[in-house]
Amino acid sequence: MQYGMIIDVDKCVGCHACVIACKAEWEVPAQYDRNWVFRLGPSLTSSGMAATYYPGLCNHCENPPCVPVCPADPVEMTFKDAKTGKTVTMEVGATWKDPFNGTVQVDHERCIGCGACRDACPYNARYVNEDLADDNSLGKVDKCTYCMPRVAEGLEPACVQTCLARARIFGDLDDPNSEVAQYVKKGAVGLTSKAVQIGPNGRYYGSKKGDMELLMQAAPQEMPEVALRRSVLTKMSLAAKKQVKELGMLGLAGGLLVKSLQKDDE
Amino acid sequence: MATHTPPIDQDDASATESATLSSLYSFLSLTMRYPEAAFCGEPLFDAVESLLASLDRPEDLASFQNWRAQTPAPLDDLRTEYTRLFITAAKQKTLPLYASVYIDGDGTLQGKTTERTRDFYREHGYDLANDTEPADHISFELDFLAALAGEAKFDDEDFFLRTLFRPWFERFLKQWNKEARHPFYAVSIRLIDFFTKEEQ
Repeated sequence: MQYGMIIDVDKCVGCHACVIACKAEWEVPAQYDRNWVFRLGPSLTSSGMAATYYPGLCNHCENPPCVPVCPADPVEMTFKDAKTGKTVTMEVGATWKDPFNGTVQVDHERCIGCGACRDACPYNARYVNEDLADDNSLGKVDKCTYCMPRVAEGLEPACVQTCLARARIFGDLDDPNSEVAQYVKKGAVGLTSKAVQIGPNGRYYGSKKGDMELLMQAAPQEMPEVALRRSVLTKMSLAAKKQVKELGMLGLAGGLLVKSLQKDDE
Repeated sequence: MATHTPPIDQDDASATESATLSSLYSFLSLTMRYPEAAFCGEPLFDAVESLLASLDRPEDLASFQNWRAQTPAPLDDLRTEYTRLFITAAKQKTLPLYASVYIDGDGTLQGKTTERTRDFYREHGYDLANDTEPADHISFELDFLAALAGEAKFDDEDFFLRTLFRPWFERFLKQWNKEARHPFYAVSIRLIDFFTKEEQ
């Protein structure tokens, strides 16, 4: 099973109801988004002028680059297939890809808020909410979960349920009879590029060539490089970060440098 | 998606990263100031140990812990060593912590590099809080890097490192590495080297 989402851009009217529904459902702070709608165009494409919308969210990718970069101490986690009851136990960091439903999830309890996963995502689908920092973290990462708690109760994801135009369709891509699989058969594609081929399970369908051209132009064109320094900073233990921070503040307080008057005057 | 409204510069690293990096530079700057009781004590030493442990530097950690265990009055020890190493050792043995000494050719303080460095600070909206040390003292330079990192000005930080910091620091390192050094300063200098050359 692989959950996926179809966005039918022929139907999307760019109303942002999906964004609002998601925020309301998951209490996403105003400055962050788990999903988004960008307006593309009007621009000249190879098929003439085109304009469309790019409703985006986590693609719950086949090979999610956000998962292996998580530096949180791994724990053993047992996953259960909702249909068959079969279980699998595997070691996971604070983010993982579910072996049964293919969704990519986050354990907020164990997330240390380092931002490595956020920076590894070419779709920019994650954010770190630093207001949720606690004794064990610098904040908490968050992103679309495909509304798994709602799905477990037999509901649709909030964005799907709320979409007035029915431009969003959610389901199992592995089930050939599902509506999402039918859409794929009809030509729905993930937003990929030469450099970004990580198997996005969010797929886009549009009957107009120009619209699809704009969408593919909006696809990330390169994989983020998690900088060497970033990996070093990630390796720093939380205790070290906090101690260094406290001392760093002490250093700044007795600062040798000040903001110059010249800057203040500007 | 992180923040769509208002849009953020995707090249900017996170506030978390910039804050951590900024604290690191400030912290390293402290290790290069003349040791004062206000900051040079157990919390500083504990932080050095945590840093070494989490960066997986067992040898540095062991030598540092060994020094702590064998030094009943670390502040006095560090003051003596700081003065000896960086200020008053015999000619050729003293390793001043000023860029101009290594760059300006005549080995003196307050050279052209000092001015260039101060100009760089000013161009980026900073200036010295006092004139107790020349602008190109390593501690100022690390404070400046902390300020840039704190504002997520990574391009400026990189430019400063490449053009003003690393050129002299590498010459300093050559001298420094000629003999074994006091564990506290050996570790501090290695950490500074590590964090300033990372992005090159």
